[in-house]
Amino acid sequence: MNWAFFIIVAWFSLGLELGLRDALGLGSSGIAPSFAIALLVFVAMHAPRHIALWTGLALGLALDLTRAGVSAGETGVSTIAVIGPGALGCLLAAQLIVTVRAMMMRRSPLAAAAMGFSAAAIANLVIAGVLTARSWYDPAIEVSATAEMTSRLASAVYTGVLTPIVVLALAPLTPFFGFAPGAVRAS
Amino acid sequence: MRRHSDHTSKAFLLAVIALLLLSFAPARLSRWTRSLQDPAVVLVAPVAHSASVLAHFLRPAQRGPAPPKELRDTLRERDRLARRYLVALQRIEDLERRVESLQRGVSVQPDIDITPIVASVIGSSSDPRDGVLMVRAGTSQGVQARVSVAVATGEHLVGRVVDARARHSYVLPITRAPHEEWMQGAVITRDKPLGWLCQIRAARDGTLAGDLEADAVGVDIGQTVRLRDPSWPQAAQMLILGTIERIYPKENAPLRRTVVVRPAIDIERVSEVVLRTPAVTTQANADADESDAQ
Repeated sequence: MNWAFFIIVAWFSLGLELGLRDALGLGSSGIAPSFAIALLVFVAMHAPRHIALWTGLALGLALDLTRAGVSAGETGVSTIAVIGPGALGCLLAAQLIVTVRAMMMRRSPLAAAAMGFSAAAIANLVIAGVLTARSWYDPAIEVSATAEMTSRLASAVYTGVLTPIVVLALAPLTPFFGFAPGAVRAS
Repeated sequence: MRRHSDHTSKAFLLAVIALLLLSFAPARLSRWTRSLQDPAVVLVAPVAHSASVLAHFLRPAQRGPAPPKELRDTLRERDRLARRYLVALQRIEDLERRVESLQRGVSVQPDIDITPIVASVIGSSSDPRDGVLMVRAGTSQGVQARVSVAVATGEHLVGRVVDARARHSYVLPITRAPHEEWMQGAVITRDKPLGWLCQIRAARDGTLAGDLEADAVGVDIGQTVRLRDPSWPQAAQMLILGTIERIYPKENAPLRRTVVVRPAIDIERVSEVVLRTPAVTTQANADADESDAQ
């Protein structure tokens, strides 16, 4: 894969993720789509297995690094950095896509939507799981597992709606990504 | 070829183990990772800001049609003067208390001047559940965490700065504050300029809701609610929280009433904020920077 081109597209998608979140979000519910996961779906549908996994790790890490978790600690409300859950979540999401992609029609918008939803659901499930587990022993993190899961699953549905649009927009750029021909079948 | 593949697998495994450890490391042990966030945000900021500008153009923070410019300026001026009047009233109360304290020999906090810092909103956290706004002004401009407050369109309180980095800061909107964070507001009525007190908190639907003072009279829908909370910085006192959207009796105590307050603007979609920062703090920072330079 052409990593330089991927980095430019990832940079752009992460910018859209942060910049358009408020506009695309559903009020104060915390439900919003993810451009980064939509990009991950596109790459994981075309790239060899190990590239797809590294891509998941990199995109997830980028999401973790641009995240500002709110913590109501003893010193008042502040932000905390939680590096890892997003990366692990996106890694599992990439693995899921690599596993099922052979059974999917890559050009079908419905397949892209299904993969977008599944990938976002897996990534969000891991993030919610890690944060919930941490909240048991780390006073800096307070989460309500039910509320987390509800809004995160709704975000996954929203990402599923966005994914075909992103995949369609990225399709003409496929040659620039430099995916090895036959990589999907070989892996 | 095979050796290269083995190296890649080992690196991948190590990366996963490191991320697993970091995921479960308590916040006090992983504090150093905050320094990794700053370069990431600086790199993404140009695209995020451009997207944010487009988003705010398509979906502005102002609810309903925007009034003409002259009227908008007049309304802002009215809000500014109303706040100055209320702050003056509150100051009289404070001074009376201060006189009492001085008579008892207790030292009092000096007056603080406010420095406004205009900052554009770059974007938000990558996790939509966090709800923080990222703004382009940081400690290098004098912004201070938990001291600076963000306002928009004149006198509307957006939220408090919860984290200040060198070049950017994070503002937590009042409508996204944690559930355990209560705010004290004052419902301004004709008969009571300093307002009837209410304890409100974010209802997570873009409004603030809570209990109204038991003996409050003359409180009605559409009245302005301002912040009057000693736990908030002085720079935030008497800023507008919103207007009353609903009043209804509490379910378990019918004689008490619950008020629902909706901010006049969609504060999670503002494109620019003014960070009100105490000038004392700004001066102290400048002094500290100077001494560091020496």
